[in-house]
Amino acid sequence: MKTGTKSCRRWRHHLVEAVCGELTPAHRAELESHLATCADCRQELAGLEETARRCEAALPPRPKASELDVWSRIRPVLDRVERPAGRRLAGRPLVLGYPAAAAGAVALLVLGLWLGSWLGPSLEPSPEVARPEAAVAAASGAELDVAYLRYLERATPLLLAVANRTTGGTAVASSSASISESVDSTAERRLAERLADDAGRLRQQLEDEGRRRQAALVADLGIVFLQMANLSHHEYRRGIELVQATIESRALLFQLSVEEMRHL
Amino acid sequence: MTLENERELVEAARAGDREAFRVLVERHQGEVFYLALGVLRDPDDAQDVVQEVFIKAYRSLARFRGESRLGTWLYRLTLNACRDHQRKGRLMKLQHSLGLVAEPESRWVEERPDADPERRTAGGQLRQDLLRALGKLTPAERDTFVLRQFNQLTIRETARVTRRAEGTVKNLLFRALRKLQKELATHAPMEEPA
Repeated sequence: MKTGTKSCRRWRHHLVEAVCGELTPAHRAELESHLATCADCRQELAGLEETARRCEAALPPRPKASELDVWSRIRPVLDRVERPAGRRLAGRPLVLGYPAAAAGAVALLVLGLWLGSWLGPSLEPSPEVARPEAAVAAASGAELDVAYLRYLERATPLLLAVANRTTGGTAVASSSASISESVDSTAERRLAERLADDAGRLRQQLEDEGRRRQAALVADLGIVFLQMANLSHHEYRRGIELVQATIESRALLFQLSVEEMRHL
Repeated sequence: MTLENERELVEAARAGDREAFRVLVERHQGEVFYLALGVLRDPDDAQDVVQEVFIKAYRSLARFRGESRLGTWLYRLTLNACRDHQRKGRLMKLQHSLGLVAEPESRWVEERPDADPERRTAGGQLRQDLLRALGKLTPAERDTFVLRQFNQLTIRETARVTRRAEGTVKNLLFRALRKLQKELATHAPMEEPA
């Protein structure tokens, strides 16, 4: 079909408007005038309209609400969003591995709440009230900076450990000390799964705030951790080579170094 | 549902009214699913994405400024969720090709090589051809085509959802229709259901 002439290219928007049924009266008059003299455009329009008609006939049936039943499927998740069980929403514990400090913090919190009950009405929302905004309270401005940097802090050690590992191939990062082969793959995969999940949420928050560069880095990290999380136990060693290739192809270690310098 | 009614529901949901959010979910779940189905071409994946979208919407409702309609915002969340889903899918395929994970069984019944040919109704074949042809479009072409053709958005609404100029949307639709025309013509002539 010959539609390469200048004039025909000029009419493509009109043709699309015609197929979509959105021609304005003025455009309709112009197009009809053109079609009267251009066989190529007449043929093009007929082909596009026929295709649109066939596509419409082929559309899958629209689902019934009862088939989807989205509300009953998401309600348990929303319940967890409303009533975080210690590790949800505002974040995971900030001080993993410091049980004494964590216990002290909890004690202070309890004392503060008890004192607060004497001082006046609590400012905390009633647990029965759903507060969607609470779920993203930490996800803007300076708090998002903190969340982003904290994520990189958590991600970097695992990334370096994998990049430095020798598996029979060449390690991505040059290091005089290679990591022992007796690595706990189960623990690594679990950590990778958590980091992949967190990457998904953090990336969305960063994109919503327009921080595309940071979102892209987090997305790349998420892909690496998702790869690791999906490796089977038996193929872990071989699978790590794939992960190393991803780290190298996306220059993740370089990107992390750059981020580190930015935030010094 | 009027715009004013929708605004009231959004405000109520934002203030913690779960019932209001439930109404919004039931109002929009069909269109969100239909968009995800067109983009991902797998009903189970689309079902997963729908749930993700509304969970994200619940968490992010404070961020919805009301400058656009709720449906526009939900469509954007859906397109982002579909992209994430596709990214994970490509990863799984890569791992499968290396023998690292077993290939998941196709959930789209008619795609299975051992599917009973008699189950392939005329309508089913037509749908298969369309869904296969959609896979030949670029992501931008597919998003635009699905919003316009599946969800019946106008060109202007499609432009708003995808944050593109209307002229760009028309170009994408033109290219999408041309590619689909070529793809559908290379298969056996479609017999439309009676």
